[in-house]
Amino acid sequence: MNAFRASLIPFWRNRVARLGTIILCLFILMAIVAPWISPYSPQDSNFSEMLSPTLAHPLGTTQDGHDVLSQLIYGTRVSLLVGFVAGLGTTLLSLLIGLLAGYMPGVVDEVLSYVTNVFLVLPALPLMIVLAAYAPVKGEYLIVIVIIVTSWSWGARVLRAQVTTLRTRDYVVAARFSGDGVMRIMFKEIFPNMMSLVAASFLGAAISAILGEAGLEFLGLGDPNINSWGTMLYWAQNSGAMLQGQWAWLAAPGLCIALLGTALVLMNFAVDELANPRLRRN
Amino acid sequence: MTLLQVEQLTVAYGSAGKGVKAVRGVSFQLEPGEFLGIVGESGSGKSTLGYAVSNLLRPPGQVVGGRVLFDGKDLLNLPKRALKQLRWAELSIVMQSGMNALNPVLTIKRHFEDTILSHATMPSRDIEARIRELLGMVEIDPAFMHRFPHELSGGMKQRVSIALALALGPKLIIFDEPTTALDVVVQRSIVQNLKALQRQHGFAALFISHDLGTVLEIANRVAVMYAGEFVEVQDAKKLLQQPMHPYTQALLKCFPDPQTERLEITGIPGTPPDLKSPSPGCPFEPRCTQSMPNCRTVKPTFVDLGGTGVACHVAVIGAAGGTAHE
Amino acid sequence: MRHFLRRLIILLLTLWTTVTINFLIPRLMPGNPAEAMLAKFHGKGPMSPQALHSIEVMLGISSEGLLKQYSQYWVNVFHFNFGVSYTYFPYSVRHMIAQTLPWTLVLVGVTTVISFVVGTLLGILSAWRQGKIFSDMAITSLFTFTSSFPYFWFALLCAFFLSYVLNWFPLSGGNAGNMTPSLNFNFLASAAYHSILPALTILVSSIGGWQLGMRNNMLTALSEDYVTLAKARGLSEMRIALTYAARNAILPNMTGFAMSLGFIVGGSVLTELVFGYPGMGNLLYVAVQNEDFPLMQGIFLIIVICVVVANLAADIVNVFIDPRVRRAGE
Repeated sequence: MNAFRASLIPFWRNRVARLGTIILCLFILMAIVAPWISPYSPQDSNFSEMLSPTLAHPLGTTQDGHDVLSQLIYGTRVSLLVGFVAGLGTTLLSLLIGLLAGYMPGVVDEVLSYVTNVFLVLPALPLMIVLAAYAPVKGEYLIVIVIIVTSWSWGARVLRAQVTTLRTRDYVVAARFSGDGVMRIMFKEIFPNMMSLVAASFLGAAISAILGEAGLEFLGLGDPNINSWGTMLYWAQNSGAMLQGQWAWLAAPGLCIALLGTALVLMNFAVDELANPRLRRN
Repeated sequence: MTLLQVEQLTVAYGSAGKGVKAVRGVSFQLEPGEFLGIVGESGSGKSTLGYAVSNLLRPPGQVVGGRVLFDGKDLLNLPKRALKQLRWAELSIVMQSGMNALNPVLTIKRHFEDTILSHATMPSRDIEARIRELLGMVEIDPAFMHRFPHELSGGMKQRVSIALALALGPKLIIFDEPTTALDVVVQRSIVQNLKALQRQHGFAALFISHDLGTVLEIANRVAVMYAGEFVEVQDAKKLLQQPMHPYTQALLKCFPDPQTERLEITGIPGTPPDLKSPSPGCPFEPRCTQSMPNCRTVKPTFVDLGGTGVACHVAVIGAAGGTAHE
Repeated sequence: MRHFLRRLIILLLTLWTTVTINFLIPRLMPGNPAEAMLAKFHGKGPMSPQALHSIEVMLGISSEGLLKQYSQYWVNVFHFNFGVSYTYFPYSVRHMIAQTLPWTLVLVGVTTVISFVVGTLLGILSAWRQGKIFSDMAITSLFTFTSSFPYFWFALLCAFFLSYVLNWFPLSGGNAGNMTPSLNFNFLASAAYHSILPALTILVSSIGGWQLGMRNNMLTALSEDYVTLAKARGLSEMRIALTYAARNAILPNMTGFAMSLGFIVGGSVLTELVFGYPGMGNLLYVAVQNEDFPLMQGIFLIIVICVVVANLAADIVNVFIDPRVRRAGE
């Protein structure tokens, strides 16, 4: 728990990262208190359709008569959750493969590095699209899985490189000679020394997961009946929000995605500083 | 006329006021053609001093007090243009070996061309002849000028750095641990080479090193640095025979004396003081074997004894009483 | 040279893996999408036996053994023979790709190059003037924001405000009406006009990545010893910034650039979709919408081939710009 708390401190000490942390916390808060701050239920479709912003509906209404603002507030939940879960899954997969490849030179490393290199070269978005298109069941689970499968490789390569250098450090060699098991060394000696790198790849994975989720949903490859920022954009696009002059419906979900993405990028500044002291400024 | 005059130079890392002072009120003079060695453990501030004197400190390091007069010019407050003109033409630097002093994407030749052409116009045929001459001076085959830095060994790169420092015939060269990362054989041959070059070209030098043996071999005068301050400045020969400061005496015991049969090597127990929280007394007191009661409470000032000097209560009393440590 | 051969082998293996994955996906998917596909084809009209056969090979409806199918699949890949498109029946997949590819290559190719050049220059500038209000703080903050845009959303906004509200640009399409692509002025002018908005949105969303990356590399390079020494040698600021710092900082970015050229074909799906641009991204979208598996297979293979070629180019470029790689294998 202490190591966890210590790893949070840099996000607050660095002023830029602090801004990101605050924005992220605001979004999390919004997701939690959605039922209390949302003016209507997101499922309530008893309003006039395709309304431009008014006092009663600050962001207008949808083609089915939903309130856009309520959808936006509730949408935070799915978008945050999918981004977080997919980011976490990606990081765990990267970590597993990176640790194994880095710690086991020889056949294991060769095979895993090869697979990593292949996935590194494959273009993520088209691969996501093709995978999602072939899948018989659409929905958020599929999106999470597709994102994990297509984006673990970058993190795995970086983490592998780090493990490879850590493996030869004195204290790791000492632990090995004193008879510690592989798992113990990995999690007691190596893992704590790559916390900042893991944090960085989690933030990076979460950013691309949030953008990837939005893109896939926008293409209609998610479940269009689930209420998230990506599906809001999907419906806005497909019900001609643009030609009806409903700019708020188009702008708001994307702005939220952009703000959330920016928040994570800003938080990454703190990690960059940890990993590369040369970027640090007085 | 004095070539380099450093007065009460103080350098701090971190924002002014609360930063750590790595160099604390150091003063010294250097005459033309003189070879001053600066010795100290790592963390003593000797490299910082070298960067400060050449006005190359990078943030968060900054000069917070004192001044540096080079040829009568205030080096730290010189206008950009004038500083640029003075650099390398009059004052050049050889960085620590093992550092990336050479640009990996440029050939050795381009390094020389860049340097020479920044200060003068010269037809390319003359430049090439000059590069041959310079590489010859440091005993490197001129054919290597077409190579890239990564194709040279550590020793060769360091020789190239020295040739580069000589390129414009400067009055002063600052050597910052020039041989530290090299093996002993290469080290010796470079030091011999340097000695010959200095006799030949007559440049003055600041030779910064943690290796007292090398410094004693090459320098006319030696300054011993401890915790950001000069604790003793002496003629090289006298320093070897009559070290005044207990720290110098301890340093001398750390390497075998070639003059005697004695081969008794001892380290100095203890560690250098934490510069963040200096004690009121002498910084060396906790490690000193000769300390007196007031060493713990009163900080010894640097007493100039005519060209030489020392900052130590014990040594000053000894000198006044005429019983220097033999 | 050995390093290069190793890279070549990895890339060829990548190609092999992708083709194999492509071969396996329709065969492994539950519910046999291929059968359904073929049934739909029968409703479209008469088809030549060869076309039918190549579809069967692509999608794996065959009584032949898996190995036989696999080798036939490779033969077809080498001939760019992906069968007939379901959506654009009776046109072949090859025909559709040949018609679409140039649009994407020109639009995304040109914007990728511009984005890289401008982004890199701005990155150099903001690192050199680190901490300055306009040339570093403002630019870097702006790009930090734009680089986390969902880029299709930015495209939507541009389309809305610049095309729909202000009417400055056409809302969609690649050229006015049904002009036949040719090299006359009218067609080129119309195509250029239609591509301004898509190009702008791609630029805005991609330039930040180059700027931020270059700024980081440049800051690292500026703290190198050879930069300090160059300063001590009295070199001009310009020379230090460009030949000493930027020249080294750009090395990792060049690899990224060559790789991004590989993503030209597959990287702009959403932008093309928003603007109804007649490129590969849109074609892929249409293929996905209509579950046109032959077309999807063909497009995906083209995308991967581009990526592999670009990676190879990246390695070759590296040999030329980094002397350490050049001599390392000799």
